[in-house]
Amino acid sequence: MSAPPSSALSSALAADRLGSASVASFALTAAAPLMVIGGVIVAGWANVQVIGFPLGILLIGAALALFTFGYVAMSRHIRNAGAFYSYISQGLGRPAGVAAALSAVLGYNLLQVGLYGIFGAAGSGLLAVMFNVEVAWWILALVAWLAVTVLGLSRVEINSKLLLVVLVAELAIVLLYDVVFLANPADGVSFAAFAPDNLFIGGALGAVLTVTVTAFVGFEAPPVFAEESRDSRKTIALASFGGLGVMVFVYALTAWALTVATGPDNIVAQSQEHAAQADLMFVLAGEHLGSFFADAGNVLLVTSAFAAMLSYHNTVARYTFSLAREGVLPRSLARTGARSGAPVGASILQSVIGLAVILVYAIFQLDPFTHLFFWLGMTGGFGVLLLLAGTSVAVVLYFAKDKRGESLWTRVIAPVVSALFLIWAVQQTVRDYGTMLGTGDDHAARWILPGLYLLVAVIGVVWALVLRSTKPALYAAIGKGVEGGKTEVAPAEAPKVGV
Amino acid sequence: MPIADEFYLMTHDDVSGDSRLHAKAVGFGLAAALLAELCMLDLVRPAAEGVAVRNAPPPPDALAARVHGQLLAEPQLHPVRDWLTFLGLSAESDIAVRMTAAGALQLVETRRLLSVQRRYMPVSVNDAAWPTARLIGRLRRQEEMSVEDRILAGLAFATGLSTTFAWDDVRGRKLSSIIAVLDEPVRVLIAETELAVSKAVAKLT
Repeated sequence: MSAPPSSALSSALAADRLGSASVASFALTAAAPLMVIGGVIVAGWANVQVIGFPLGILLIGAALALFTFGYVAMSRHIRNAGAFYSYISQGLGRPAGVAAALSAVLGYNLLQVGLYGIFGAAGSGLLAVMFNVEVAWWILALVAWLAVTVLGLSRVEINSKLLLVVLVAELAIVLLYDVVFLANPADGVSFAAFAPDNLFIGGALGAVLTVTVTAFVGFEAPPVFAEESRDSRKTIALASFGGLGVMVFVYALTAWALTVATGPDNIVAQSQEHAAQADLMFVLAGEHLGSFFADAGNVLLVTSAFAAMLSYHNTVARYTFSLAREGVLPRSLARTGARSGAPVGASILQSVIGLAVILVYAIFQLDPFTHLFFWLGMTGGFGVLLLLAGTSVAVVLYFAKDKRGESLWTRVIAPVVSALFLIWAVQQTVRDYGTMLGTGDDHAARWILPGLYLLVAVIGVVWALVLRSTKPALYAAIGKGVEGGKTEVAPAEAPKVGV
Repeated sequence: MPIADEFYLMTHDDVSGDSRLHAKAVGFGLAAALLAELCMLDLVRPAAEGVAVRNAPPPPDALAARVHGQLLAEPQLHPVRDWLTFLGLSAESDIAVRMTAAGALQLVETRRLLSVQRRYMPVSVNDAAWPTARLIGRLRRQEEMSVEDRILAGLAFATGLSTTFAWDDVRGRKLSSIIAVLDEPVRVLIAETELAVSKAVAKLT
């Protein structure tokens, strides 16, 4: 890859490549700190009714750091925009890869669709507080849906510099809130939120772990940019660990500060009280900072929910496009817009799913925050947890065949420990799914939602086996992404491209 | 008319001169067309391991000579995709300049409030529409096609341009038979263009 500096071509292409900071900011913008704490974690407290989320954040943060060693190592050897499923294809075999691909499409779909819920709930709350107007959540969700659909089809990405500005503003306001929360404790600065007794509670632990994994979604983005990064060895590793470090610090600090502000014993009750409007943080901060800073945070939550929604929409559409072009999904989903360069077929599918979900929730008058954002969002997070566990195992098996110059720590120790932890977390989550949803074990959703992954995994494996016997060339290319796709114009022997 | 000039006309509106494709696809497609011109002169040879270049006197056309010189100046082989990316950065404006000199395009300046907008517009709408009309006509009537026409058809498919002209009936078997008779290097070039355009769709940046 490296070429002498005298090459005009190499230096022109190098000027276009991404550095660690840009790659990390792509990861963090999809993460949106205010939404993670104000939405995901607060909803976690309200539903799971356990104090120990801050400790859960540290625990998952550590597990993900271990995971990242092997994950980043894979990105040095396999280049593909759909990191999880291509790694699983290479490590665990193609049937598992197709199962992972469909699970990823389902999981990220649920995460995206769930965001319509928090956008609607927080948006209508904000309009009520600021302008005293009552607007139904689903009207706002439909407005957001329309905007996402139009922008998705015209391939408009929100300018990355603007996203970075919003992200910095969010981080600044979150840290300001933290200072205020810690300076005004309800009953002394208590570390009860980090006490193991408040986390390791039978029947709830798995729920906490999955909610926390959901909070970290976005950390897995950097390897996707391996091909466009300046130095694939250093840039991606730095961006991955750096992004994860910022997330762990901000999330753990803020979650803990919230428990201090309400008093650890009141955090669950307070979260339940404010869950419907997703405004616990803002109400608490407003008591000390005045309504300006509270409203500013609330506005940022709504804008970042929208940014995340669009970003996920485009991510899911691109992912679906890659799979369709590869031949794993129907070819019609690989249709693109000539003028826009947007994955039109996949984008329309994503929009149709979003519209259907919003309408169903509106018609059946389900709760946008609990039933849409939390139920579907956490089920999406559970999918990511499954993919993380599968990828950890895939890393171990991939390097077992060939060490490829990676160290024992990177290819065995770190991924084995993270695989064991993540598999254990999956098992805990399946056990505690009813607690997480807040329904108990009698509700059908408790089995249906996690069962969706089993369903798509079975479909994926069967489909892969069908492809193996009917289209061997296509089967052989599974996991290679766009590179693997064969089209009418490909020469008889497709050009081999260096990996 | 050189292949790249004809492909420029195909990828731009015959009246307004606006691009019919997104910026990346225009760049890749026109870069491929420039390389195709050199292929036809037997000066370069795109292959799986990279774009090989023959050390020969430069072609008479100034732009083709410049691209040939850029290839010769590189100390090592580069993959086709890297050349498409590199040449794609400037291909659209380079070709527009050449076509303006040849009298096919004119630079039109429109005064705006704070700036002057410059755009290349076709001098003659009929001439600008000709390559597309000719190609579609020959495909429909299933007439014998020249090598240049086959390359243009391949690039139209590779860049997604064929979908804007509703050529979907030409995709599939018929198209592959049109391209199949081309030499291996040109087929590699077309396939790599299609791959580059698809990868641009699948990517954020």
